[in-house]
Amino acid sequence: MIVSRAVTAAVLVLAATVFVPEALRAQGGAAAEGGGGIYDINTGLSVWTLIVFAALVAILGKFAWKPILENVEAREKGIQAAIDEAARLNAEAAQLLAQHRAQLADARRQASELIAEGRAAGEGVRKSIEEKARAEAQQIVERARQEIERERDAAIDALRKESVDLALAAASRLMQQNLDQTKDRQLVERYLGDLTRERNEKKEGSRTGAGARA
Amino acid sequence: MRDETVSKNYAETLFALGQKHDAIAEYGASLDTLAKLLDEDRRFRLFLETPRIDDEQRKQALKRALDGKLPKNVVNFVLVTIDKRRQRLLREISRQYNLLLDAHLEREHVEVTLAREATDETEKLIATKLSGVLGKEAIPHFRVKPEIIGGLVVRTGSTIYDGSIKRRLDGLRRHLLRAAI
Repeated sequence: MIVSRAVTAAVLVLAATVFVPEALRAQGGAAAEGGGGIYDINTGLSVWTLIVFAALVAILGKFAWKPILENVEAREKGIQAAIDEAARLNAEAAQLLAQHRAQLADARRQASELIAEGRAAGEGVRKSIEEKARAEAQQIVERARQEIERERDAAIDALRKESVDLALAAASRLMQQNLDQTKDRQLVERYLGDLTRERNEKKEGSRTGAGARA
Repeated sequence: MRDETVSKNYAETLFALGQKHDAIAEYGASLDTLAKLLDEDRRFRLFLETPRIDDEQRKQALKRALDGKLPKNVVNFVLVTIDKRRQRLLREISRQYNLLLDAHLEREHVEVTLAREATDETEKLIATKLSGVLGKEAIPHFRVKPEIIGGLVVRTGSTIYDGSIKRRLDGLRRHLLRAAI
């Protein structure tokens, strides 16, 4: 509707612009024939021009001005809304950006903390493994030392036993060779004499004890 | 009742009879002879113990064989054991009788181990000395064991007197093994 009114107004203005100057020119031709100059004021033309202008203004004011303004206002509103939307989106984007930056910073901080924790845990594990390895090494060394001592003692014992057995075997062989009937009888006599003496001493002791008790 | 207890009762009866007739040693020797015969002669043992022979016949045969060789009371004692069917215990009865005899005569049997055979003189010396040590008559039973090298080992009951060279060497060995290097 607005467009059709604007088109009609434009057609009228165009017709006025085309036909009115033609009529004026015809009038002017007649006047020129009368002998007018370039700087002469043509009152009729001026009046008509003013009338046409006024008519144009009136027509435009009646039919085109309002739709044009409405259109312009609508466009202005649309642009304003787009600007507002853009501003809102911009603010939102800025907010999101800030949020993302904060999240990124938080993530970096958490990552740093995790790395630090991991490093600390790794250090702890390393120390623990080192301690354990050191303790095990000490145990192995201690066990080996004890084993060596045991083996050494066993070897010494075996050697000592063998030496003693050899010495005593030699001694017993020598005795068997050198101990004749007479010497053996002397041994027997001496042992039986010792036994008799012991018995007598025991008897004497018990008699003394009984006397003391009496 | 256990055989040992029964044998002891029989031995005590014969011992009392021996004391009464002042013949304990003689009765003991007779019982020893019979026990030795039972140990060594299988036929005599069979004759005495087999149930195939009638007891009367057995007794008659024994009486004929032993009369005049053993004291009459001992022969009668053997006949009584046949009556009581205790003749298989004669060896144990003899052992119990000897124990009673040893206790009565205050003598003790000792086992003497020597490294080599001893002369009679040495055996007598050992018996005399051991009697002094034990405080009663010692009856040594000698045996030879070269491993003891020299000296002697005396065992009486549960007591052992070890005067052998082997024991001394063993002691020396223990001492040397204990000694610190």
